[in-house]
Amino acid sequence: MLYTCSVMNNKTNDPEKLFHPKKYSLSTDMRVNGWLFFAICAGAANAFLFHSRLPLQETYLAWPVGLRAIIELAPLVAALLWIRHMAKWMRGMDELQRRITLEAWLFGAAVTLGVLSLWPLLDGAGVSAAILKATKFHLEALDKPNFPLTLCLLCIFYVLGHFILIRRYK
Amino acid sequence: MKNKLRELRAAKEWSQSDLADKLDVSRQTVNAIETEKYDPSLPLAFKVAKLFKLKIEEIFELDKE
Repeated sequence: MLYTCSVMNNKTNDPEKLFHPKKYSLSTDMRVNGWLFFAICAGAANAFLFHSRLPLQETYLAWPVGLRAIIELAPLVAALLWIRHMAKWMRGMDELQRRITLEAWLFGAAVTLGVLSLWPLLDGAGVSAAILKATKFHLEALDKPNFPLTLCLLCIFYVLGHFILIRRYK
Repeated sequence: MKNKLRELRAAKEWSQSDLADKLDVSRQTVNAIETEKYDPSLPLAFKVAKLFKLKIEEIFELDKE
């Protein structure tokens, strides 16, 4: 029985189940990225409820320090659990897929770091104001980088990196 | 690195998916090896050689450059 299960589960993890429109599997996505979804939601809820101009912010500061620490750290813990699940999923990939995924993560991390580091300089040069004037699009979120924003940027650039790299091996 | 994987697979009348299943890799990996865009790891090269009952150097060959 154990042998049969191990053989039946021997199929390599396929990133196309997350990216290919025809092969997409919601269950795989939730298994791999469920904690990411939770981390982004928890971080966004935290920022909206406790760090915005809502009246809740004043009472929040009166809450016990331990509770506030748990609320603040929840997205980080969820992100760490997501990294663990992602690493486990990558270990189950075949060698080429693992290489593509690792390179895509490296690309995503480097570009995210670049964007978040360079934005204050560009903002200081008036780029933000110019974009607002031209497109009416506010980029205030980038002025104060926060956890959900960093995770979102990382995922966006990871997906972009994945599509760039996958073309190299086609 | 050059290889004869495509010829060997064609001789057995296997599709890329068939070969991928036999090697426990994705079809994309088989395609990348056949088009010489990706060099397989040593364990995978051994697996390929064992599957076709050949020596590694009979399937894979280093570029002379």
